[in-house]
Amino acid sequence: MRKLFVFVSILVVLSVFAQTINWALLQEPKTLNPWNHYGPSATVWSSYVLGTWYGELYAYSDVRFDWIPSLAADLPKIEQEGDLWAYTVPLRNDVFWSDGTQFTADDVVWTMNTVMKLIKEYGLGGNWASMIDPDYFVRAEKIDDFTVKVYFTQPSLAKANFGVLMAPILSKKYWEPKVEEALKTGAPLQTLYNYDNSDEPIIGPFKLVKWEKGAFVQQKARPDYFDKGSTLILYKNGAVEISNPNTGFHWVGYGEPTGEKMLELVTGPYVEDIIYRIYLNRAAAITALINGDVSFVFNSLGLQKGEADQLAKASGVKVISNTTNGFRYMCFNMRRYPMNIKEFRQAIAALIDREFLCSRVLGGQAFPQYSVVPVGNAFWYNPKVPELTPGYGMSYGERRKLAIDLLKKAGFKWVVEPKIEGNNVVRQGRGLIAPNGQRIEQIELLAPGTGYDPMRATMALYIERWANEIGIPIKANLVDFNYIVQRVWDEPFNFDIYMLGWSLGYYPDHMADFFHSKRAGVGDFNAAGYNNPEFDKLADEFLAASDINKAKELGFKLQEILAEDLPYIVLFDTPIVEAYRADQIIFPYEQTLSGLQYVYGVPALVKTAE
Amino acid sequence: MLKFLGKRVLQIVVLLFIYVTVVYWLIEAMPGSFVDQYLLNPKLTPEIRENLKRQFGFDKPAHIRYLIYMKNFLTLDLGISFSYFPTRVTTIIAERLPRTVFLFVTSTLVSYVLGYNLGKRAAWKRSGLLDKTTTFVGIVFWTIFLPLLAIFNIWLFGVILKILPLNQFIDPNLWKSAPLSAQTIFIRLLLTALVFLIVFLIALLISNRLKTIPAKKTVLYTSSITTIVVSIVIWILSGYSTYAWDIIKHMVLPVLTLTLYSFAGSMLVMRDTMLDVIREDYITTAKAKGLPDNVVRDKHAARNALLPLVTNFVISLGFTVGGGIITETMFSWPGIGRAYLEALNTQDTPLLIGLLVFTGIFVLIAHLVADVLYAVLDPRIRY
Repeated sequence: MRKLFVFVSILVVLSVFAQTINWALLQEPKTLNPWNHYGPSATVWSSYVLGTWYGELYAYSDVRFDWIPSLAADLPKIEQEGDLWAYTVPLRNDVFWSDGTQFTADDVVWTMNTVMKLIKEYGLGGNWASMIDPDYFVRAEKIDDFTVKVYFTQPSLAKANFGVLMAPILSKKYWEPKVEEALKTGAPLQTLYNYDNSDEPIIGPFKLVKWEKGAFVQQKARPDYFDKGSTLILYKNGAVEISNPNTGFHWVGYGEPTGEKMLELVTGPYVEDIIYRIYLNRAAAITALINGDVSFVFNSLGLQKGEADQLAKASGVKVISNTTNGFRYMCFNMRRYPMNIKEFRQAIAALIDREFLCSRVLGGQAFPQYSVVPVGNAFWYNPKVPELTPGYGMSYGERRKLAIDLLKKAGFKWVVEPKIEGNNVVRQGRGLIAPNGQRIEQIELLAPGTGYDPMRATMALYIERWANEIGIPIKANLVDFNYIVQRVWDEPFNFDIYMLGWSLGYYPDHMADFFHSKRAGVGDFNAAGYNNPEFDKLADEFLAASDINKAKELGFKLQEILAEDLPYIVLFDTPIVEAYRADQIIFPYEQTLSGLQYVYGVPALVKTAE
Repeated sequence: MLKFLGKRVLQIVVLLFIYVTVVYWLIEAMPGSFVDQYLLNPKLTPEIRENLKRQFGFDKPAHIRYLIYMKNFLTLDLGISFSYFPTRVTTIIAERLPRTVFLFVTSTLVSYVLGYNLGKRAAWKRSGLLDKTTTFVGIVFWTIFLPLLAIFNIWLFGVILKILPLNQFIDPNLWKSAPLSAQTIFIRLLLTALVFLIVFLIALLISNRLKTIPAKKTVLYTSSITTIVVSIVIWILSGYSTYAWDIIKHMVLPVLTLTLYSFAGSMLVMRDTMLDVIREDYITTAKAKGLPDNVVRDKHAARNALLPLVTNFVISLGFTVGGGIITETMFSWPGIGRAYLEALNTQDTPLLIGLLVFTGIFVLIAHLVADVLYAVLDPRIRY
């Protein structure tokens, strides 16, 4: 009887102190199957739920995004072996899957080689193919239970360190028989995508308990999570220290762990359950946040001004703002005349006063961007770029004069030449004549309509007006997003100038993707048709760099070249504004690139408020 | 009648094929395609992009894709959804249908019952306070912007009064330990409703054969009340009544909103038809015979005025399988309507066509049923 009483008391206490937090998603995850999620059905909503399920050899640190060991025990050792480059990676021996199996080199080797096989032989696409690039990755080999060698055709930070070595690792014991079975079927990939993996062992801190379709997903904290109690310390001098007193794991990198600490985090999990409630509209999710039904709303687009203002007034709710890792831009079709003339592009850039547009027209809801590497990506961002941009810091009149001078320098003429006095356009230009004597009738600027993005639509109309003032016949055509995509990539390159945006990864190899001349083919991503041998050479070096400081130096040079050549005019981006109930949960930090949603709400670190 | 039915079924089949073709090419004419969003990943090599296109069938020209779709359609294969790849369209419909049907059939039923009752009373006391009030209120709600009405109801009943759940169709904190899925409970609730309907129809048939009004009433009321009580007892004994109640509780706000929004339609139809009927001689005769007012209204006038409303109701039932994009979105009730929106936003052609075809079939069948019902209810109509 006494035992029963004690047991019941424990149950009662546990149920009283069971800490469940409720978070809101604005869409249901499409899939929780890793083959499908990292394949064709990748959505941010699935990422929020399963983003921490799978470990990877290396990961980004919180806040500062240092590249640090995760399942690896140390940074890789790189050496050339014949034609190939081998990355030797020591693995942690204190990592266990949720089914109790120890994580070993077999898991790593099997995952990498299987993904490679599925990409090459069966057409596995999506993020798997972006992480494991078959042009670079060759194979993975087991040296011993806790050491692997990963072979590449050439060393590359982009393809190795920030690619293959950051790919999710799956459990060999669980998946190997399933994959073998799937390969015997007529449609192996579909079989894998459809596989019900609700009993799959994971490495992360929370495990799926229930997915009630259309309503919620519930995850439970793993009491046996291998990294519980582990400490991550970021020092101001750049050093990083990771230690787990429970398992004895200790790693120090990027300098001596001395001096002032920038951040110190002790890994949990600190809550028992996380319930991701599915709300199908923003208003409902925000009302639920105000009402206290949920403590955080995941939303990759952030809150709109009205929503943020409403939430700022709500009791117990805290609104936070972070910079984002992306930019909105306009791209010139350099295959067409006169967009292929550098001075013409510089003249347009000179006309665009981003500060004025962002602060005055868009009411501070956006911030100006100049470089193809966003300012929030502090390590890779070249701070010199704004000064290299034509017209930077100039007044309204000075910008117009500069634009006219640039056009004249390139040989442009007007039927009626524009005249600027002070900050006034006293005579509007008309009849722009190109250096080849051809009159330029109209240049189309494709931009998304107000329904899709009112900010870009507004900016396009301002650019049209400013260009028209000095006689550049730009006509803003506000259209559907898909229509722009069709004109740029499907038709292909049937455009003069278009305006769109990119969300980016942390490592800025997108510069090579967007501007290398070998990517200028039909349907590829150098939509501008930019072709600069100097840029190509540096981009190749950048992709092949294995030293991060060398890569940074090259990345800075690439940004400077692009700031002068201007295949893109980078315009602006918006901060991501989020809100959470500070009276219900405590996040370990609030300032992080692209907001707390980008780090999935740090489930292993979040605590409940007292 | 059989000849008429055969002709109508043939018309429906032809219409369905025209409908599928029009829908297919309308969607095809939209700029861009589903794969564009995946092809906009610069990290994918051209070979991988081509592979992705092939997986979704975009390596073939549109007319070939159309022919493949029609061939599959003939074998009742609606294909595989792009956005839920590789889930079959029929699986998605089957998953969402019970939620949609339960919500929209309930609200349609409530709305028509309310409309019928208010309509007949308003017409009976024409230009009276009830007529003026119901017509004014009904028109106001009928012309209101539905999302606004939904937000207002959420705010009033969920936030201010806190008597109804804000959103969603279940409470996750209750359901996290549920032994069954919400889908199972939805299906069981629908089965309960079906059993009730069958019992009610049988009771109606039996009562029609009875001579006296008290006997008729006894059969109808006893069978209905018994079925309700037995159903409740079975639900309680099963141990799942809490979950069923949770769903019903979550359904109140969307049903209320939909009813407020749409009852005026049926009310005005009923009112107008009643106004015609009450001018008939047999109503005057019934009044002259000294029958009570409510007997003349309910037995003599309303029954004859019911015909357009019933056919209207049957056609509305056909539309219920399509759900409602706004209602489902505003109340986070992911059903067929929401699937439409998702399919349209992501240009998930197979899912969108599948949903339209599925809804179209039900609407066409509902029209056929309405035609037949006309003949059954009104002996003057013969095909």
